[in-house]
Order: sequence, then C-alpha cells, then structure tokens
Amino acid sequence: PDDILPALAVDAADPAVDTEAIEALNQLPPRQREAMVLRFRGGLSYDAIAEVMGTSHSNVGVLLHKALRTLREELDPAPEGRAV
Amino acid sequence: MNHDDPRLTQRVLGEEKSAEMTEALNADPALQQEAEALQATADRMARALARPAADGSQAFAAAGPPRREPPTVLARLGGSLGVGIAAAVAVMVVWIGPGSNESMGPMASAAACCIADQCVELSPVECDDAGGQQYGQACQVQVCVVRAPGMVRSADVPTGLAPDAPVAFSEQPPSGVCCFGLVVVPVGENDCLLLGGQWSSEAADCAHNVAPVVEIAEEEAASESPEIAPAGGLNVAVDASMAPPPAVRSKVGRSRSDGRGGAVPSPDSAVGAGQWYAPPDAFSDGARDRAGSSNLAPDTGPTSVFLAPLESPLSTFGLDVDTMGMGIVRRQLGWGQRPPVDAIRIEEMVNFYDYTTPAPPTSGDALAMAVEVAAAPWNLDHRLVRIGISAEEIDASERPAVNLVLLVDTSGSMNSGDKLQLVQATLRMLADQLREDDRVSIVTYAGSASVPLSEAKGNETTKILAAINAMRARGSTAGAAGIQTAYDLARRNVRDGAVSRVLLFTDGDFNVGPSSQDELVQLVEQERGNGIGLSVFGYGASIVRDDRMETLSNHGDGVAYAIDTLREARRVVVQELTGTLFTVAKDAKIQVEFNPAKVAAYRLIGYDNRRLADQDFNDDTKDAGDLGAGHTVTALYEVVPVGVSVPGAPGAVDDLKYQRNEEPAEPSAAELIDSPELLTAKLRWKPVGQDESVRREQSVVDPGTVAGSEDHRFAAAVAALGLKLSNDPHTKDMTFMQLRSMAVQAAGDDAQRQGLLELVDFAKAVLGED
Repeated sequence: PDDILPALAVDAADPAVDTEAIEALNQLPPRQREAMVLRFRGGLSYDAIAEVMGTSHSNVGVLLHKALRTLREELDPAPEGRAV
Repeated sequence: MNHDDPRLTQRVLGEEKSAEMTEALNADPALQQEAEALQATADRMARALARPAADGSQAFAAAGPPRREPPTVLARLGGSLGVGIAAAVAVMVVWIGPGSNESMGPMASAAACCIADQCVELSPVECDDAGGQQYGQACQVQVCVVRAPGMVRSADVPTGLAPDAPVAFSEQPPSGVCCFGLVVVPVGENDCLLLGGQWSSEAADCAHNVAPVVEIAEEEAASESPEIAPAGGLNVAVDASMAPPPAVRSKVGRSRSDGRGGAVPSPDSAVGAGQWYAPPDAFSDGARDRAGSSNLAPDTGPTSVFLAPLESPLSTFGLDVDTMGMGIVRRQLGWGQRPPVDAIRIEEMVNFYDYTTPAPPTSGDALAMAVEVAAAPWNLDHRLVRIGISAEEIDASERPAVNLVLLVDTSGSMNSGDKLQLVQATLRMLADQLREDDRVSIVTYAGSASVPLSEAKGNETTKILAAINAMRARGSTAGAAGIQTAYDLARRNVRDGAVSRVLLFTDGDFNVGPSSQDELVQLVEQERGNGIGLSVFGYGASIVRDDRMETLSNHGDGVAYAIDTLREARRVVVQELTGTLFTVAKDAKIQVEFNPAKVAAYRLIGYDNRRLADQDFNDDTKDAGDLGAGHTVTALYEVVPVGVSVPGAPGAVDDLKYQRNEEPAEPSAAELIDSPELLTAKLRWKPVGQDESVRREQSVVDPGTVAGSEDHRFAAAVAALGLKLSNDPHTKDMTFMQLRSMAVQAAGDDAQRQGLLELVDFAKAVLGED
C-alpha cells in the first residue's frame, strides 16, 4: 500500500482552513509532501526530518526547497524578476 | 548564488546563518526577492499546517488508505468498566466495509452509557473503511455475540444500529473468532451494547493481538452449556437466559476488599480497554500444577490491572526482545500522529534501549539476572521493581558463520524513500558485516520471484552491492515462489557450525506465497525444524499494528524489527548478526512470586501478549522468548506495598444480590510464611543445544530506596511514556513536565537515551496535554 503519508482531507466548509494551500501541498510528490508536513506540522529540524525519512540533511534541504518553490508558484503565480 | 540552491530555503526557515549567504542576499536584490517570496509561502504553509486544536482535527483527518484505528472512546474505558462487562453478555459490532455515517445515526446520538456505577461518555462512531476492498462497498456491520469464553456467534446487521433492529445470526459461529476493541453504547434504558473495532478469524491474529482477558476456572467453563440462547435483536444483552450462571458471576466481576479500605480488582475481572477474546480453546489451560491452589489465578494482565498476591501470587511471562513497537511509536509521533493505543508495547519501548546492568554473565551461564527496587517515579508510595536480564556477549569477530537469504519485497508499494531505499541502505550495512565464510543470497519478489544474487561468499562485496543497487520497486505482490525460493536457497547452504536464516524485508504487504496466514506460519515452523530461522524487517507506515510480522518471526525463532531510520537499521543489523543469529538462551521466561505480607497488589507493566499460565513456567514444551548474544531485557513491576491503598475505587461493582458479600477470610498466620522478602524472581531458559532448562532465582528484600540507579530511572521514564500513550488509568495524574524531568535526569550523556526527550516532547504536543 502506498501510504507514506495520506493526502490531507480538506473541509472546504471551514473558513479557517486554507484549502488552496492544503490542496497545493497534496499535489506535491510524496517525499516532498512528507518533508513539508514534518517541518511545518511536526516542527522538526532538518536533522530530525532526515532521521525520520531515512535520508540526508542535504536531501531534506532539496526536498523542502523544491516543495516551497513549487508551492510558491502554485499559490502566488506572479513573481517579479525571478531568475530561473 | 543560484536561486535553485536549497540553502536559500534553509535560510528562510532559520536553519542557515552563514555570512556567505548574507553577503549573497545583500548583493543580489533578485535573490533577496526570491527569499522574501519563499518566506511568504513558508509562512502561509505554516499557518495552513498548524496543529489543529486538541479536540478537533477535521482539517487534518487522514483520507486515502484504510486506517484501522479504534474509535477514540476506547481510551476512556478503564479496567473497572470491564468488571461489569465481563459479567454480562457482550455484543460486539465491527465495521467491515466503507460507507456513510448515516447508517450509524442512532448511535451517534448516544451520550453516555452506564454499567454499574461506571459511566462512559460516548463519542459518535463512524462506519470505518477498514478492509473496504475486501468486503465490497456496502457498509456492513458484523456483530459478534460473546457470552462467555468458548461461545461466539456472529451476525450481520445490514442497516443501522437502532436498538430494536433485527439481527440475523448465522447458524454456525465461526470458530476461533476473536473480537477486540470495545465501544459501549446504550441499548434500551438499562443495558449496553459493546461495539468494537476489530474482528478476526485468523488464529494467528487472535493469538497475538489479544490476550485472553476473561478468565473462567476450568470446572466452570466445562459446565457451561455450549449453546447460545436464541437472540432476536441487539437487545440480547438483556436476555436473562444469556447471563452467565452465578458460579461464573461470582468469579467474574467482583472486587474484593483488601481489608485496608482499597478494593483489589479480581484478576478475573481483568477486561482491558479495547480487548475481548473468546476462542474456544484459550481457556483450557486451567489445570494448576500445585495441589490446593485451584482458586489461585494466574496473572493474565493487562497492564492496567493491579492484582493481589493473595489471589494471584504468581506472575509468569515470556521474555520479548522485539523492538518493533518502539519503531511504530517513533514513526507515528514524528508524523504528529498519536500511535494507536493497541500498537503500544511498553516492554518493546523499554527494551529498545540498551542497559548496562546487570553485567553480562561470567559464571558460565548464558543469562544473568538482577532485581532492583526503588520508588515508582509517578507514584512515590508505590515501588517499581526492575528485573534486568543480560545475555552473554560474543565478539562480532567470533560470531559463527552465517548462511543468509535476504528476501526483499520489491513490489510497487515499496517504492518510496522510507521503504526500498532504506531497505537497500540496510542491506549495504549488512553486507559490510559479512565475512568470507558467510554465504548470502538475495531473492526479490514482486510479480514473480527472482534471484539477483545466488550463494555468494560474504567477502564478494562488489557482487553483493551490485545486486542490492539493482533493486527496483514495481509490480504486484504476487511472488508466490518468493518465500519458497528463499528457503530452498537457504536449505542448499545449511552446514554445520553456520547459522541459517531468511531475513524478510517488507512493508507488511505479506502476500508472499502460501495463500493463508496459517499456511505461511506452518511453512515457517517447518523450516525452523530444518534449522532455518526467519526474522522480519518491517518498513513504512503500514507496519503499524501489523502483528503478523511478529507472529511470523516468533514462529521462525527470530525477531521482528521496525526500521524507520538508518540509525535504527545499523543497530539491528549488528544485533541481528551477533545477537539474534546467535541465540544463547531459548524459551526464556520469568516467574515472580510476591509475598502477600509485603505486597498489597502488583502489576506487570507491558508484556500483555506474552503472559503465561503459572504452570507454563516449568513446562519446557511452552515456546517463549529467545535471547541472542548481548541482548538485554527489562521487565518492570509496579508494586503497592501493604499499608498503601490499592488503585481501583471501592464500589466499582455493585454488591451481589444473591450471594453473600463477605470478604474472604484472611489467611491465618500459619498459612503465610513469615518472610521479610518482597518477592522472588525466577528465570528459566534452555541453553542452546540442550533440552533441559536451567533455572536461577533471586529473592529480594525491599531496601526502601527512593531513587534507583540510572538504568532503573531511565527504564521507568520509558515505561511512563508508554503508559501515558496507552491511556493507563493509574498514571493519569503524571504530567508531561514530570515525565520529561524523569527522562532528563536519567538520560545522562547517552545519545540514544537523549532521543527519549524528543519523543516525550512530540508526545506532549500530539496528545495536547501538559
């Protein structure tokens, strides 16, 4: 079973929930999603995330960076002066 | 600096403070802008993902894969509630299909349920999606009617759970069905219905998930009618003809006073929260080996129940060296999720850590035992007895040669970083440890089995690594020949002086060939007879609550590990090679006799599924735990000294109407041997290669110490966390603050022990308690 991390359910009726953000998060590849959740929900350090996910500190950096870049483009699609 | 540099995110998240980055940001406005944009996104995600309040978690309710967590109300069912339940007919309902909540409407409105004077607040229960694919899409409800041990019926309730809904019972009760996970809802005005989380007919599931918690003395069980009275509806609970006979009632569900104002729960009333068990043959071991003691009851647990030595002087259990339970706890807490209560194995948490006392034996024995008594840190009036066992150590270079077959699940479900990648890393570490005289083969299975490495020597490292690196996860899990191929290869290389073993690496999706779990267990047992053991390495999240892995490894004289990090992988690889692979003591078990003159009540913390009947201690045919070289095992007993009131409030059960409620006569002085000792701990094991058991015992006088040794305090802190996570009713008042300070004081400089602090912090945050 592919259960590395369940997709997060969104209660669209709840105005307190940032549905857009959660849905964008759910679109990420599973590893990036897991790193994001460990960081932002679990409050884990890079080292702790690396340990939980069985990977390296630098790989965590890559996962989080890619995830944040993707989310930033999804959620704020009008960047200025952004070099690619 | 490049915008793709991950250090940019690291800076935004406050984990990077280099001058180089500061300069780069100051020099490049575009980079600065990018950082600010990432910062805004990070802030937004932090808000979106903030932990929900402790009560509501809709926004974060997991969707997707089936989850089998029991409804939360379980947590509030204490042992004392079980007192009443044990005396009544139990009706259990299990959800076996996905569906809407609406069919459960009548239940959702229930507010409280009372049995005797105990009321339980009820939560709405949802029709779960567990096993949905297997059972079709309709939400069906399976009802197990459990009257007394040995009698089980099941029925389907097709629509809803209205109190008067008709129930059609199947003609033949499924044999060996066990039910566990109880929720109580009211039926009518005065009666309750037990609704439960899980139902199983797999003998192995039953044996390992559920301790026999309803005990009836042999003669009473034998006199029970094998019939179940006809039941026309869910209100069967009120059907007088189904109430257990008075003889049973007198044993089940009574509290007796200890004469000092506290009530001692009868051991027979030990219905644990969330557990219920009734296979026909589980209670046939009633014969006691000691004349005149037929009214004494063994310690059947669970942890939440204190027992009185006057009634249950002996507590017996098999040692457990598995640490899988700890892997599950760490993983779940790391995710910010609460580990399922029934996945908590306190002994596996305690045994996850290494202890220095007692020192490994030097006397020529395989095992050494030490007993230490100090105050229980969560209740200074209570004593905490730590029994430590150490197995003799063997230098890794002196270990016997090994003949290993690595059986690796490479099905599609393994395709995630915490699974196959971590398996490969584990295997590389294992390869590092092999020597020329070792033999190793690799079998992978997905759609079919293949053998990427056949009978290599341990020092052919390049060959071994190439086979490991080539693994890819894809395809189904239908490798019918996988486990058979593995055993065939192992059998070809069995030789004198070498230890043969199959190591299974999987995420628990166990479709490895023989169609049923029973056949698989049989195969594993048969191959164990051929000298080939089995250990199971579990990866990924679905190993949570998967007791099948533990079952299999137990039958293969091996160990089940949960691997969640490379650090843990390294630990178990070394342990597996020098410890498990080289068993020094087989069927190791402990029996403790408590002195009623000193001990008002006691409880064994953990080992809930390892408890044995009193007479099993001397029975060498009973399989118990095997210890490898260098293993240490710890068992903890919480002891209530005489003169201290015993937990469990008086009046938990009403006085009986038709029987005298007098207290049993206290034993006269002549019946008790005058002794200053608190207890005697007995350890028994079979040295490897011998059929005769060795037995050692140690008697202990309580020295009155308050603070124990570092090992004692640390084991206590781990156990305290386990108790907290398992909703233990007797440690409710212990705060996480106290728990943390216990851990801080005992962890010392040890890096492994320091890890407990983080777990305590995670647990505090996840449980949302002080």
